[in-house]
Amino acid sequence: MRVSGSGPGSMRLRLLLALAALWLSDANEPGTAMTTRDINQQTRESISDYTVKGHDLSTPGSHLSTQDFNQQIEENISNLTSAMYSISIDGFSSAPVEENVTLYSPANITLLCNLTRTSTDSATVEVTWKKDNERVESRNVTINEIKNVWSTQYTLKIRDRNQMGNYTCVFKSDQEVQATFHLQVPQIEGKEHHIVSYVGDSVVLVCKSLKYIPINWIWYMSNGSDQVAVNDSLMPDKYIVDEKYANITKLKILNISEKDDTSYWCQAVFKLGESKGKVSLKVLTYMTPLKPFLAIAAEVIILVAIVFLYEMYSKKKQMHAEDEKEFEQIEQLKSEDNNGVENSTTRHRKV
Amino acid sequence: MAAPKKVLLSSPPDGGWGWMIVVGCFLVTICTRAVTRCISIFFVEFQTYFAQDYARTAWIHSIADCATMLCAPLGSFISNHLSCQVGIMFGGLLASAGLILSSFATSLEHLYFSLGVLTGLGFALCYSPAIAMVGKYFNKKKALAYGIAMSGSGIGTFILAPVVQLLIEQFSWRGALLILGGFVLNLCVCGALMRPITLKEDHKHPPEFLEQEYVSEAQKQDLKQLSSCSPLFKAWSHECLCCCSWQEYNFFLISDFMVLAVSVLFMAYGCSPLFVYLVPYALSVGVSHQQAAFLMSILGVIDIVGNITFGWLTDRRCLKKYRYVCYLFAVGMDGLCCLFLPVLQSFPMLVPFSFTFGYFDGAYVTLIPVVTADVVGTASLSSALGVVYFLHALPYLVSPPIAGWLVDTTSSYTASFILCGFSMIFSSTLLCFARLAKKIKRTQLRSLTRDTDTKQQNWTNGTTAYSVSGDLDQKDVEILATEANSYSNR
Repeated sequence: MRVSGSGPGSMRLRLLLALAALWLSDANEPGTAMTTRDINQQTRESISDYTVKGHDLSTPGSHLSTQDFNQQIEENISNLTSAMYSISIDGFSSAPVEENVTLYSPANITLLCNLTRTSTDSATVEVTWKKDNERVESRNVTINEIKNVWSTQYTLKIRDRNQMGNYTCVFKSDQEVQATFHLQVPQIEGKEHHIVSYVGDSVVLVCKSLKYIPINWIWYMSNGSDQVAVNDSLMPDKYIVDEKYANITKLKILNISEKDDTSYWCQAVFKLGESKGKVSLKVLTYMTPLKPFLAIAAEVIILVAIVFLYEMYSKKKQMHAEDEKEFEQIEQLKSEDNNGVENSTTRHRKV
Repeated sequence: MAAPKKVLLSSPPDGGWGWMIVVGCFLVTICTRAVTRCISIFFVEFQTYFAQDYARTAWIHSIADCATMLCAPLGSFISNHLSCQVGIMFGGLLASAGLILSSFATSLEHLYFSLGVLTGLGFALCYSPAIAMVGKYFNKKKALAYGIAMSGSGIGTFILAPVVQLLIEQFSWRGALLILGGFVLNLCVCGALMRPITLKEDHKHPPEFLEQEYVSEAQKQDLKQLSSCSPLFKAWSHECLCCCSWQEYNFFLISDFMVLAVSVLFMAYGCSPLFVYLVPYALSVGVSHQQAAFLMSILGVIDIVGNITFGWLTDRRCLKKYRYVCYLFAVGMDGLCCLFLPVLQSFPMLVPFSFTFGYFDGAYVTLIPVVTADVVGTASLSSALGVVYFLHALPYLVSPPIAGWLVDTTSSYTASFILCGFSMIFSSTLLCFARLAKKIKRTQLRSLTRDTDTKQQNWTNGTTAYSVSGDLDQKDVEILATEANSYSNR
């Protein structure tokens, strides 16, 4: 689509951009190759009001913008958040940039792509937007050029899961460059390590989604390559699902057997889709830790026996040495006595 | 065959089998103190499994620690009357049984009993007798031997903590407790190593003390105790038990011991909250989690270094006479560090704090048994140590919650750290004043003995003179002895 200045949506967009220009502040930060984002969202009752803070850190030398503005949008739908996400591309020769956007509930989204053009690039640029590699209508797209920055915006209303996906903005002149926004529901983290439990024991599997509260949780158990839903109402003495808090789910499995040694999936249901976390359970028998225990017990018994035997042996040696010493002393005394007696008898005779 | 003679040694061997005793005591310290500290690693698992909150789970550690210290006198009592070997082996079996029972636990109360009471009691039966045994085998190298033996808690925690974590990942907490129970069985091996030893000093007759160089009130009491209490069946008869116990605990009458006991109370009160609140304080001043954990590791490692180096240092001939002073210096330095802590507000300033505090903490832990032995003598050392560790229990239990309450009400850590600092400095000054008071008394006594003429009779019937100056050190006794000789030669 060529650059055009006219169109009904562009008036609103120009207002947006004008306000943005008032609040623009340039901040040069030493090179980070990644794009980082920090978005605050607020909801109001009657009029949608939003505060957006976006930090764009792209490759050094590019223009960096920290946007921070309040705006009223004329939509009359209550309880809807609006947010803007933007990517800055530094010239046609940069690699494709990707951005993960986490969406929790229906919202109005504006995706903004900024391309910084060098003076050597040609003046005409063709801009397209794609959703999951299919071109989208140009109704919600606006394109602008300010100084050397080409920017394009795509507004969309996210109402249900059909609008989630990957949105790509493509800039094409002599070369082509693109940036992708991945719109997804909040991801659930499972546990990387196995949870270990024993036959006959019970275990509690936990899944948490701390920042975003899901509507519902569903547990699945993998049966071969399938995933079977865990029905706690059908088997109440085997599975208990504890939903005391909405953002933590606990599956308690009672009376564990070897068959329960599989992976379990906790699925969080949001308005815009579902996401799963994996928790795997490993079942052991009591023999498994018993073997190291018996090995250590055997080592202790052997060492104690060695120490006591050594003590008895060294006592015996000591007693033996003392007996010998005593014996020698007695012998010495006896021989001295004998000598003494002889001397006295000699003296006697002399006298 | 000739009747087995008891080998009476004239002085502690200071080596030989003594080093095996040190190894045994080192293992005892690992199996008791380090295992108690590693119990807190199980808390997350217990919380998930039993669906309880942190406060109720943390009681297990408090009960175990408290039981170990509270029952320390019981431990010394049993090993005095049966034998050190039997006492420690029985304690090892009890602790191991407690851990094995815990691996089958079905409720948190079950854990309170098996992991808290049983295991704590088992550890108590091992800890103070083993430490007392080291004191019996060493004289010249006592502080170094204690340093090596006490470093077991630091080294043990350092090694056991990742091992326990690995065991929990591999076998879950039940299997880990079972294997830990097996590990604690090694206390029986340590018990077997503790060969009993009797020193000639313990069998000396009272009239002989004139020729003796260093006699303390405690050693005369030991003689009476041994002669009346050695037959085992007699010991279990009621009257002899009372009489034995009374004579065993006669060291209570020594004023120095009372001063030491009171100062230990204050010192234990001051040092225990610091280990609990150092990391939260560091986090509150803006230090990151990894850096805070690093501070604790520095504390642990320098603790070990302090144990061994301070032990070696105070064994040097020049410092040996001043062991008491070194002990109160170490406690005072720790208190001073605590007082400075609220001023240190960044990581580069907290690192030297960790170094200093850790070093002097290791230092005074090594010197506690040494100073106790100097005050009460080696025969009652076991019972005295039992009492000293018993006096640690109440402050350990009471001090962290009080410090926590102070933090909550004043919304800052300053008040609790200053309280800890002053508590330790008070403990140190108490000891200092006691020493000064004794010195003044001694100089008064000396001036008195120079003036009076009825000296001679006092020397031949000199029990009173010796009991007042019961813990004179060698130099002073020599001076008095030469003076006695000079009078008798008149």
